[in-house]
Amino acid sequence: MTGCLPLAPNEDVRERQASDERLRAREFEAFVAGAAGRLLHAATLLTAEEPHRNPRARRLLTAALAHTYAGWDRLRGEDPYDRARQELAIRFARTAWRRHRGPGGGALSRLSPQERLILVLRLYEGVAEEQTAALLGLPVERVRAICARAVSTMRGTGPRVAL
Amino acid sequence: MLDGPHPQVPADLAERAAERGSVLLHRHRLVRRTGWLLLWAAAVAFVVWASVTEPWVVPPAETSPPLEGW
Repeated sequence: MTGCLPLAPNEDVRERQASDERLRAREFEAFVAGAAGRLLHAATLLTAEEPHRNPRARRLLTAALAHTYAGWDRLRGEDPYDRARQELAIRFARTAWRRHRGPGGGALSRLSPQERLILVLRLYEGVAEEQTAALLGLPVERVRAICARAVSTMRGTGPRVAL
Repeated sequence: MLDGPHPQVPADLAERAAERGSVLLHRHRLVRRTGWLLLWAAAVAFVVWASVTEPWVVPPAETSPPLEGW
């Protein structure tokens, strides 16, 4: 509970909060300027939309970035990019089964949402198998199997996945 | 296959995300503050109640032992 101790007069607290907020906003803006392109591409791969028509990916990324912003002061040295990617993946995993089905026309539209998520995390983002498994709450072997299946589907040799 | 054409980032993405994030942050703060306030109020209420009723004092016996032997 910082910022609401009754030690300093209320005005000082407000002023400090406002300057904290300005600093956070500046840092966040710089972060988004550098990371948004890559994150939006990842989000568009996840939602299997076309790059020039990706409203769901934009919504997903906006929500993930908003939560990254809200947790900005509690990062404690953690890479904000990791956090944003984590938010994106969790948010997608939570909503995928309901909303991200159906043909979207994107590069990975032949895959199921779960296969897309694991493929993007493992191959596009280069997240380690163990970390992916921990993030999604799956056993490592399962992540490996789903990834292999997704890759073989994309190569056209594996079984077609019904969407 | 993963490195296709990159989508264009909307110009106001950072601004909108920061706005929503700021709303979230304020909501979290409000919830936390309310929680502490409730906890504090409960503690005060407990102390007041305890000092008024003094539940650790043994109540006086309501029945006296039978008088025998005189």
